[in-house]
Amino acid sequence: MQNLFSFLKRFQVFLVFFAFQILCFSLYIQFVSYPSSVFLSTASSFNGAVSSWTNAIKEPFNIKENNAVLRAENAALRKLLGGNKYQAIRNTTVVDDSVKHLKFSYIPAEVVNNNVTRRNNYFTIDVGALQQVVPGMAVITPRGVLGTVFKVGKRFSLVKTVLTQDINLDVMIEKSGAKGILKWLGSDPLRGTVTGVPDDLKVPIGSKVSTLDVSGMFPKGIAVGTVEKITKMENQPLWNITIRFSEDYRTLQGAYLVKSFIKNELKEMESNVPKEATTP
Amino acid sequence: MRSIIAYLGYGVTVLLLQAFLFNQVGMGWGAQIFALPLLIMMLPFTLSVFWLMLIAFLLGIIIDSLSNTYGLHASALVLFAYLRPVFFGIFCPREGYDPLKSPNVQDMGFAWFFIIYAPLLFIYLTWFYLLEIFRFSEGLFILRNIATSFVVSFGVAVLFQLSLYKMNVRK
Repeated sequence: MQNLFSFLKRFQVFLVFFAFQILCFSLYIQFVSYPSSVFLSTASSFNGAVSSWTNAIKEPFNIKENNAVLRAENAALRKLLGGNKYQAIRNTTVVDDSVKHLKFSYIPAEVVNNNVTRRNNYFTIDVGALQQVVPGMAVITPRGVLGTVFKVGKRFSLVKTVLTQDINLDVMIEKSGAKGILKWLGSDPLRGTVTGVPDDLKVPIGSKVSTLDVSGMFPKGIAVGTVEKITKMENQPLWNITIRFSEDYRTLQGAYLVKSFIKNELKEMESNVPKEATTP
Repeated sequence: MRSIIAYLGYGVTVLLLQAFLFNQVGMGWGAQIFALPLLIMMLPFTLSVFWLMLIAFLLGIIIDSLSNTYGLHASALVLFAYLRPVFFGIFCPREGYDPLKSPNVQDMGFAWFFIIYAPLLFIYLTWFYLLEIFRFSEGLFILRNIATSFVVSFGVAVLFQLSLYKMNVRK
C-alpha cells in the first residue's frame, strides 16, 4: 500500500496527463463509432447555431457565384417541365401516373460549415431529425455530389463529404461504363481519385464521372467530376485516375438531401443473397 | 488581476481566430495555422502543470467542438501542456525563473522563447497529424503537413509576440 501511494505520488503528473489523453481518445472513438451522438460536434444545437452565425458572415462573399449555379440548375430543370415539350401526336398518349413510382425526393438544405482543410472533412447542414433526416442519406449539390449523412442532430446534421479518407463512393466513368471507387488523397479539395478501374478499359481524359445507384442511395448519373489525369498503378492491372470535382466544395452553400424510397427495399432484397454466393 | 484579464483577452481572441479564421482557411500544401499552443506557452510560470493541462484540455474541447475534430486538438494541447515544464526546466536560467516575469518574448527574450516554442510546436503538430491521419501509409503526407504547418504557425507566433512587444514598448 505504501508503495502504491509513493508510486502514485511520483507519477501523479503523468497519470493526470494519461487520464486526459484517455478522455480525448474516448471522445474521438465516441464520434467515430456512434453516429447517433452529436455531443460536441457542429451538429449539436448550440454549435450548429454558432456555425450558422459565422456562415451568415461568410455567405455574402460567395453569393453571386452560388446564384449563378442555381440559375443554371433552374434553367436545366425548366427544360424538363412538361410545358416546354411540343407534343407531336395529339390525343393518343394517356398519362398514367401509376406507371411511374417516385424513386427519390429531395430536401433542400443550407451548408453552414464547410471546412475543407482537415484530412477528413465533415460539413454541417441546417436540417436534422425535425426534417426526417436519417444517417446514410445521400447529399448532392447543384453541380455534383457531396457525400452521405453521418450524424443527425435535432436541427443540424453532419455530412461525411467526398473529402474524407474512406468515403468509397461507387462511381462510373461515362461512355466507357467502367465502374470504380472514389477516394480522396487529402491535400487538394478540387481533385479526387478513382481506383478499381481495370487498365484494359479505355478512359479518355475529360470524360465525365458520375454516380452509380448500386445501393439505391444516390440517383444514377449525378455528376462527380471529369477525368484529369490517368496513370498506371504499380504492380496492379488498374488505372489510377485523378478527377477534378465538378463542385467547388470551398464555396458551397446549398445542398439537397436525397430521400430514397427504394433503398430499404433494395437492401432487404439483397440480404436474401446466400452468403456462400458472395464469397468468391 | 490585470494580467488575468489580459490573458482572458488573448485567450478569447486567439480562440475565435483559430475557430473561425485559421481553421477555415486552407493555404495549400497542407499548411494550417495553429495558434492555440501559443496560449498555453504564455500562461504564467507559477501555474502548476495540473492547471496547465486542465486549461489545455478545456481550450482543446472548445475548438474541437467547433471544428469537428473530436478530441484531436484537446489531446495535442494536453501533450503540449504536459511537456512545457520539461522544456522550461531544460532552458532554466541559472537563478531560476522570476515569478514576476511571464513566459513571453518581452520578459524572456526572443532566443529563450523560440528555442522552447519551436520543439514544443513541432511535437504538437506531429502528435496532431499522426492522430488525425492515423495511417502510416500516408507518412509523406503527414511529414509535409507537419513541415508546412510548422512554418506558418511559427510565423504567426513570431508576429503575435512582436505585436505584443510593440504594444508594451509604446506604453
